[in-house]
Amino acid sequence: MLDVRNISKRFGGVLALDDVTFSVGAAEIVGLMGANGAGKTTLFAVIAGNTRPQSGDVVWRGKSLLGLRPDQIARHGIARTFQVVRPFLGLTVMENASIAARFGARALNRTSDVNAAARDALQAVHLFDRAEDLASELTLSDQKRLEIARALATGAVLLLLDEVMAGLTPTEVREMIEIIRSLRNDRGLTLIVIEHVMRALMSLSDRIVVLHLGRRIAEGLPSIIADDPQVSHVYFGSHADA
Amino acid sequence: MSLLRDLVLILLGLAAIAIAGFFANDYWIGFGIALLAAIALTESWAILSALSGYISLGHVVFYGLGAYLVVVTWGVIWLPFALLLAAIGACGFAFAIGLPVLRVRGPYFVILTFGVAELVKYALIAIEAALGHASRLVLGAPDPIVILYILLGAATLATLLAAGVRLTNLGHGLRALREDEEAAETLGVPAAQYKLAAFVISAAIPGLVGGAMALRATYFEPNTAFDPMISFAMIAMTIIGGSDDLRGPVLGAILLTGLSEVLWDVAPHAYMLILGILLLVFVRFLPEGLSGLIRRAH
Amino acid sequence: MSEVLFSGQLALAAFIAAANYALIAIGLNLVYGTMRLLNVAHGDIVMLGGYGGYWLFTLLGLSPLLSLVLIAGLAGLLGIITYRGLFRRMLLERRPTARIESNSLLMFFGLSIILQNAAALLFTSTPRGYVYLDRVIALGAVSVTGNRLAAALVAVLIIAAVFLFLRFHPSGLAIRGLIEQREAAAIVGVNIDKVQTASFAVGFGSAAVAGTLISMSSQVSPFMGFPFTIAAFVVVILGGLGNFGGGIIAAVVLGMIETYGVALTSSTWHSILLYGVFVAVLLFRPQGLFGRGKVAR
Repeated sequence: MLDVRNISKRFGGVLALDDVTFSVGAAEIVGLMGANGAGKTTLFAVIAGNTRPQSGDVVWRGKSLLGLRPDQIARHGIARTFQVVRPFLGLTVMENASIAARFGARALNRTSDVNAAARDALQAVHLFDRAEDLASELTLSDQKRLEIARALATGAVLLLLDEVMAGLTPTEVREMIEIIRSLRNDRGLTLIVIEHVMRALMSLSDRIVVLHLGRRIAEGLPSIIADDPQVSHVYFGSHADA
Repeated sequence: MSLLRDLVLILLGLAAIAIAGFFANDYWIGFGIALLAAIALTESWAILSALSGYISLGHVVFYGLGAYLVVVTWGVIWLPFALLLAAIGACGFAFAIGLPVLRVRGPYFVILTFGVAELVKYALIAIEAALGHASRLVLGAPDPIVILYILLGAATLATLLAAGVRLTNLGHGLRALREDEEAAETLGVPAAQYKLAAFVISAAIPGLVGGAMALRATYFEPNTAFDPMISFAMIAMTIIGGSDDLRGPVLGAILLTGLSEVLWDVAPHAYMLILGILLLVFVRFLPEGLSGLIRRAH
Repeated sequence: MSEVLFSGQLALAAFIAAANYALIAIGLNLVYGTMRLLNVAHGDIVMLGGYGGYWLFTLLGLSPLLSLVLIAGLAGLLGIITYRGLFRRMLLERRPTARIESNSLLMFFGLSIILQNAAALLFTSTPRGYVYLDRVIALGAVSVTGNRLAAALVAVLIIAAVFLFLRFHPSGLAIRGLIEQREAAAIVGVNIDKVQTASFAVGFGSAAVAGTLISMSSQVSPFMGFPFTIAAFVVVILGGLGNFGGGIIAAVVLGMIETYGVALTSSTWHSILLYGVFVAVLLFRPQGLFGRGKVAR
């Protein structure tokens, strides 16, 4: 479904992404792993159109996304969350989700359709009971769920989730894993998940791609990646126990 | 819902003015003209600046261009067409400069719009000088009562536009853009398109109002037609009245036109001083405006 | 035409204009650099300083070169009051966002209207002037009135003092730290509140002094501020926001454009030039001539 081909992205003097290539198939959950600064969020920004790569291409269902604006990419069915959550603070939870339902891939017009889609998305993340609260009143954990709900409400078939578990309690992490899993299992969505919470990443992902300093250094099943000496070297230094 | 309620109330109020116009004396016609112009301007300004958060400090440029177009075509084309031309001309100018101008964000957009308005003003002064005019007179201008009804139409149109935008996807999208432009775009809101649409729509009625007011004044002089204080009045009225809903701009227009009636002839500087103080206080401490205060009181 | 371009007279006029603009711009740059606030009332502080110079000379016979000290102090106090009363809580509470910056601009705009009309109410709109040091001094081939020369020299002195302060004094370094890296400055122990207070004080103070110097050779009126505000913005944005050295160069450029521009054309074109540069810079080169990364986004 999604082909990332030889993407390179430079910010001034820093090479954030260096010739990154990988693919994501339908209804897959691909984990994206790497130390801070490895380029994971930059990769999301490139795929979603928030920033343009110096070279390379992003192909979605056979069509190149290069040069498209973020809103156009959203209408193609790709939605991302932001690592530092960006809810529409002055709007209610319901209104946040409704915006996504109006403008994303579904592009709904009738208020009843918009409301139905928004409600559905909020229910999927267990946030519907707070529908009338202002987004500014939510806890961080609920705001992270709102990010996911918004992405869901656009009707996207590919979701890019950026560290949605950061700062959550173990219970909340468990809940979030269930929510994310059901997005694929019950709705058939495709997901790329950036996570630092290792057990979550390992248990969710069908496949893991590891970035380090902008380069893809490993890719494979979670069990393989966990044992990969290069990966543990990068993460834990040369004195790590395997 | 409150939007429709506000719309109905405002339209009823305008209808009342329409009827009262038949019986009014010169003084009240004058007051009505000032009030209707203010309502038309503030509702239009709010379409761009309140909804999208892109605060325009140069909106008088549309007003002035409209004035110029009407005065220059006076006697040459039929007045309704001239007024239409004023609105279209203002929109055209907005369309021409919109894309580059709207790429500038936050406070820089604010001062940029101010700079554009001043630039157009001085350019027009130079053009007029080259054409041999320091100002232009309008001979045989329509009676004030006619101006009143023209402005009534303008205020009605502006209110309908303001309500219409809020009801459609455009209004929802603009609100999202105002909260967080990048996040909104990532969710599918076509930012550049929507900003441009709001910009162009917000220019139309001010162009028309400028044309009507030029006829009222029976002359056109760039410094008067492009007076930055007109931009300032638009902003102040809308913010004081409350920019978040449909009735706020009208409240601000009523309050400040009333205040102006009391003070302007006697102490214009005192009026401006009070306006400045009110703007400061409302922006800092009461951002939801009078309308928001009323809402909270219930 | 070449006599115009190479005229020492015009060069001196450009220098005087540049010194004037550089001094005015420093205060704006300080407030912007440290707090990302665009003070559109800046030119009106200049106006107040001008009136201060006028009244202290007319009523007390005080030389503006002396009274500017008092005026700087009073304006600085006004700056502190403005900061404490209006901006401090807002700035310390949350991170600066585009919305806060726009709202701050509107607040400064309200302040501008207040100052202009208060001045008009108190002093009437009639322009005021006085005569001081207006004897013409001949410097070789060029001549200049004493007041303009003194104004330029004092401006240069003050600018130099501010530069040295920013370079070497701990508080000056703190200010520069805050400009470069707001979060890091706080961690390193810079007292943000104090630095912001100082920026407002020095910002207002320097603007008022510029006004006092101007009052020696030009008339003052309540609404004279706007063009100075615009000119200051042109300088600050061209030079790079928060970049004081760039500001000096931009002031020289603006001084030259203005002086030579007006000499070559008429004075309506002066305004067209000024606002044209202003709009062009904001549209095409918001990072200024020296593009150092602080962008007027």
